[in-house]
Amino acid sequence: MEQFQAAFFDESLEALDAMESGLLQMDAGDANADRINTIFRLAHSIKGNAGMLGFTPVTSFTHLLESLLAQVRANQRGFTQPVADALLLAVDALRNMMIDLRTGHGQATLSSDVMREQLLALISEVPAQAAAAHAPASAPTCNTANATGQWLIGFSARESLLIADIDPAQLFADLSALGPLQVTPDTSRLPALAQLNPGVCHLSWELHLQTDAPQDSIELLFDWAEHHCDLVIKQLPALVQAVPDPHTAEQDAASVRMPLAKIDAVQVALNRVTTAQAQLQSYASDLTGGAADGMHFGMTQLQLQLRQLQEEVRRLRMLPVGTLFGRFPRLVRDAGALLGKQIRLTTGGNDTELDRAILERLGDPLLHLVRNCIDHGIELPQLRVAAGKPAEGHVHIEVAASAGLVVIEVSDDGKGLDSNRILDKARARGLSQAHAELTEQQVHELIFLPGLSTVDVATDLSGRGVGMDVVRCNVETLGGSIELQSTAGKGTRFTLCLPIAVDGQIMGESVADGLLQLRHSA
Amino acid sequence: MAASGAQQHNDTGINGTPGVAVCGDSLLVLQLPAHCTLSQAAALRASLLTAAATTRDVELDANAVVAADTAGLQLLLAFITHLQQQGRCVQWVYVGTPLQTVAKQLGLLQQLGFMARDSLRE
Repeated sequence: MEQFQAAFFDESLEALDAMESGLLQMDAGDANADRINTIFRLAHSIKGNAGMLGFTPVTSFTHLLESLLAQVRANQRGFTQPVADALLLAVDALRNMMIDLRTGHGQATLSSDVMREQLLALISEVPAQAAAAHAPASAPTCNTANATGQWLIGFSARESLLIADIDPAQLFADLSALGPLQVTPDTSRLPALAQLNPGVCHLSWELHLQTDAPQDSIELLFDWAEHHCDLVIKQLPALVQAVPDPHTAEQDAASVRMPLAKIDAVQVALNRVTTAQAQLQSYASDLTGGAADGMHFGMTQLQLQLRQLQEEVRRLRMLPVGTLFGRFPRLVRDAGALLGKQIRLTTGGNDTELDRAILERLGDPLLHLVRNCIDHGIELPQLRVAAGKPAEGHVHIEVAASAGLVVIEVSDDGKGLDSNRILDKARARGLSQAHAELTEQQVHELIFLPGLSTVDVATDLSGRGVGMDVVRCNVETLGGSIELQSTAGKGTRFTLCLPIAVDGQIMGESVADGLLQLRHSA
Repeated sequence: MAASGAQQHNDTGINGTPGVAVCGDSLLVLQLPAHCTLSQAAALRASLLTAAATTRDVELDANAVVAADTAGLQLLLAFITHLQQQGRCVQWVYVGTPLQTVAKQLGLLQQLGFMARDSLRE
């Protein structure tokens, strides 16, 4: 069970990251149907898996989140700023619930309760539409003018359905969010009251749904009940074909989740085989006679094959650096709103691969650099406009790999570093490096000294004088280096240069309980 | 809570069963619990079985119901079916939103007697 739970937490946290990313890619007032469907699908998957594992608070909370998404998807409400904010906060709350469940803590309960109320308040803003969606198709309130697809769904509960915390009433309510739904129960299997086991659902239903949603959207609503019901979904004939959904459930079919420890075990075994091969080769070098040539040839071939195998195992540990960037759009959004700045974040070279051990250690330094650009680099919109710049500032992260090294640039088009201010602060703090003969570049590099910040007021983002020295320290621990270039009024660029892979010792430290997603190249 | 205005008094075999009371000569009032849900299904089933064991007509008082689900409604459906098969009369009082919503979602409005507005006092 623990193994299933660990996989559930990892997958759910990844799904939440994807949901957050999807939400951030949509502007308020401009919901993208595919993205909403994808986000809904991710939420639904979390809900279903949580239900199977008995995490009822997660199930019920995700259901609320899903209900709000369903209203957006069914065009019962717009994707407004309050809705976008609420969905993002709900993702945060759900993420905290997951972390608390995994660690056995309970701090997230209060915040999730508050968020639950907010979601309920939003959902209840559209009672009329919801009522229409929940009403039988024969009711006069149903508007069927726009729906062209008609579906006949047979749903028969198995004995385990209710015990698995799956309520058909809730399933049908979810289904009715897709369009008008006519629900016809079959009570013929209902036993007499005295014989009725209240934990078993003895009813079955025939559902007539009118919707333009594709079949997989309908199937998705039932997927968490998959093992607890008999389900038949048929599209009724002589109707317009539903548009196929490009996001199929097979998206993840080409990957497998594996604990990092297993890859490490392979690595260790391979190292032993390589050592044995080297010993054999040493013995073989002393051989003479007719068999020696064959032995030498075989040993050389074995050595080549082992090298190739070592390279393949090393590549198993590699992950695209873009996996690090998932949290940055949210940071930029929230920080921009907090500081009253308009900021656009772009990234390049996201597919460049790095060892997982490096990626894990690189996250915080990169986050700090992006924060630094937002807080100290990008100016307020009015100042930018006054300086002849676009009101919207630009932060860019570019990654490139070459000759065993990876270069990561974090740049902004802000005001650049203020050399005089840095020098003044450094001298005020009595830093011995701040003498008069420094070049401008040397002055700029003073920001990597501990305790130096040019900001007078510490903000939630940065400015406490801790960070840039830690960034440099972290990067150097990884065997890398960091440089900066800054031009007044033009912006600042940080350049990190790192090895693509690390040695076995660092790798070993990082893989205690992690999971690695292996991507299938086929 | 007796909705019919008839006087309540105890009845042999009913005494001690939560939510069950007899009104007048033939009407038995069954006060449904706040949660007609799976978690309370065993207790609800016990009350229903007690009421089903009599020969009286039944008034189902849903005034206290704040939550319902498929398990709860299935029990109520089995109870009503049992009474109908015995030719006994069952009527609802104070059916609130939770019960109606779930009944509507399950397509059970008619089977549970919620469509017969004359017997539904809200």
